[in-house]
Amino acid sequence: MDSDPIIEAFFEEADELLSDYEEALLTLEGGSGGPDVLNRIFRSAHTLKGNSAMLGLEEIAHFTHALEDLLDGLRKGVREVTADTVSSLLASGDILKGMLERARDGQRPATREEQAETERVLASLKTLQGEVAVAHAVQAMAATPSAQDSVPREAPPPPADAPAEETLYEIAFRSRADAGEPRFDPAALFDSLAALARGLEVSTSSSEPLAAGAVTAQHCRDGIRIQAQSTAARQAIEEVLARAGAAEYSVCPISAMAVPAVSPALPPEAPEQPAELGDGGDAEGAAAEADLAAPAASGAAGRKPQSTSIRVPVEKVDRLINLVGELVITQSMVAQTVDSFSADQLPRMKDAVAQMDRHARELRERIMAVRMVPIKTLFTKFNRLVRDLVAVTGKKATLEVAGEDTELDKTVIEKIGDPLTHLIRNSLDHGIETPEERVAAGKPAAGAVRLEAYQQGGNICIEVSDDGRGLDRERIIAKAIQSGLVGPEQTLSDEQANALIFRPGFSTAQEVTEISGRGVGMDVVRRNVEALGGAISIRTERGKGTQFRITLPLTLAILDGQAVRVGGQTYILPLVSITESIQPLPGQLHAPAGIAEVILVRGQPVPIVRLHRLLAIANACDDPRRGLLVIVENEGRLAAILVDELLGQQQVVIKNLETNYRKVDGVAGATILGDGRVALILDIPGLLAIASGCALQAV
Amino acid sequence: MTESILIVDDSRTIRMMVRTALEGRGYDVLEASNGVVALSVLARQVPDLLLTDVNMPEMDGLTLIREARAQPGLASLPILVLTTEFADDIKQEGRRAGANGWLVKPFNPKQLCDTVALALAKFGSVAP
Repeated sequence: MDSDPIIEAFFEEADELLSDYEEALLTLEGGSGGPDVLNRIFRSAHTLKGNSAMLGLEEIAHFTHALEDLLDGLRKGVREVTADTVSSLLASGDILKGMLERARDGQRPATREEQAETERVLASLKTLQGEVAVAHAVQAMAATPSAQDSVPREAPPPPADAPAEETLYEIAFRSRADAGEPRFDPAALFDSLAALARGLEVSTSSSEPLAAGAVTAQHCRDGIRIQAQSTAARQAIEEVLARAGAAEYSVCPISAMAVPAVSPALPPEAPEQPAELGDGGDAEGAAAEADLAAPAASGAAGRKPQSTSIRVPVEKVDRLINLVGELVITQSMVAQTVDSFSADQLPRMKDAVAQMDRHARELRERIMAVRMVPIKTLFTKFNRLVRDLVAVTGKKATLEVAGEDTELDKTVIEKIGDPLTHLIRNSLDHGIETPEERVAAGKPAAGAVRLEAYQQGGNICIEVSDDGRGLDRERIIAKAIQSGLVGPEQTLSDEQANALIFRPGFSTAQEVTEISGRGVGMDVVRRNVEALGGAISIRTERGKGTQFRITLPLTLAILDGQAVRVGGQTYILPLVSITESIQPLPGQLHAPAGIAEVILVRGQPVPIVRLHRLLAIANACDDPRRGLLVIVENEGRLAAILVDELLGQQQVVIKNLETNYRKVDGVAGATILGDGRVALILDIPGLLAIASGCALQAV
Repeated sequence: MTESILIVDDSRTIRMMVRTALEGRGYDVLEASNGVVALSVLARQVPDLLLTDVNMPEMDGLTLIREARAQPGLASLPILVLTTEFADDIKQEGRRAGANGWLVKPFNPKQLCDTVALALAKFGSVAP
């Protein structure tokens, strides 16, 4: 079901407003903010208030209103911004995120805990607001009476000489239903209203339009709505309603316009023009209203946890349009050549096809670029994370960010957030030492966590590094032996030892902390990264720090693949997993008794995986010396995959196998080759997991 | 002739709502995300009515109104200020800056369209 684009836009904008709000607060706390930053914070809250009120999201509107009151005081400079203020304001942002999440979930009611937290934050806002108000009063008193400028601006009562305004009022009215009352006369009500107001439009409580003359006493008992224009003040209209025998009424000004011409060009008769509003427009208006009044309903139906739209800079779209134009030209060039084809035109034909090919490739690259968004939106969120972690751990640390303009596929950005969060938590929890330990080790008291993104060939690299204590090889191995992950007699390379932290259930933290939890993390990080077609590696130096590097494909839709032949079949291996391909020399192969066959690569034993056996392919090469071994890396471990031959590297468009067939272990998807045949894209971790039963146990 | 309305608001959501409502009534809708952008739109095309938010980055709504009113071609352009109901002082300031009226947020599409129609009837140019 389509959800309302306005509601989608609202949620998307709300997310942006809140992340800007948070970022600005952190800037403010960092001390690099001036009045501009406070204005930015105020504006985010203010816009969110306005937007949520427009969509009838009362809870959010009320909360942002309270927030806005405090922010207004702060930006007028009546009170210093303290760490407490920032904490309360950040907590308010969290409350709003929760409220938005609930609204997105189809107005899910708040849990008791959520309600309590909202109350707590609201109370802290009120306290701060009270302090602001007091500071405000003190400042006002301190100002000398003559220095009028410094007296805070009060909303003045409407000046007597202000030009009269004609206001459009929305009136709700319900008459008393008591039997003892004198019979209510709608005509009398409308007469007295007509004396004050014009352009009366009446509708029933259920928004059915009614002619003023057709309003019955019953309608009035059920409640009616009246829209009217009047130069009278709100109180004057309220008095009329009260006198007419209202049980309930409300008068809301919707809009107002100056009566005397502000505009010199105004023709003199214009104010007298009966401003009858578009007849027959009511139904339309009501329909539009109904559309907007139903955010909850459509939100519930079209429940979408992530935003589904992308904002694309106009230049990107313009370039696409330009390119399509060129493609059309080359296409017609080809068509023309084909129409009157003779052998001597072959060079011309080749040229035209080559050109079309170029354009098609460029078009594909550019259309992919449409999905690419800067990683900045994600990176800025981590400032808050580090701030909170520093507060919880009592450690000192700063976050350095680089390469935030690096662009990544929108889906990848959405999915890489959790793994990065975990790595940063990990750095602060396990990597960065306490200030005392750091000083003792001759380091600055405050640690540095660095987050950097950059493009490298067809991949994006994201590095999370810290200048903390580094991984403790001995402790990792001891822990791994203790939990039975490795045998006590095994010798492990540094890479293999480091890779152990990605194994399920592994944790070296001496005590379980609130932050990094119970070691259910790094394996999940690795799985999430691999699910995105990426890989994660570690570099660490004792006492100097640790660096995690995540390598991700630019996009999820296209993969850089290595086509290989096994028997009569073609398979695609993701290029990102391949480290090298070798034709083994006889002396490199070993088959130790009882253990699977290995090949020695620079002295290191690498188990051989025979693809044709795993996939049951007939007529394939079984002898590593006659075929080729493709060395792949997974979790820091190597494996040598036996194939008949390498066919070539190409970018392949990934087609989902699961949606078209079913999930197959060891297969990541399928693609269509240039000659129209289908080739399966192999999933290296999955494949090795299958093979581990026989071949990988040795490592 | 189709009447055109310029909506100036830094919120995409509000601009989208205003556009949807007004286009539904047959108006042409122009958009600007702040006062600076609005002035550049106005330099190319003068709409029949301008609706502006107050608090915006780069240039706020009241400055926009003052800047617009200082230009000879825009002295009689009908201008309405979008404001929140609590901001009485903003209404006064808007008036002083040269706005013809205001519209309170939140408004529904019908209220918006009615207000725009009223403002065009009162202040709009009478050219056919």
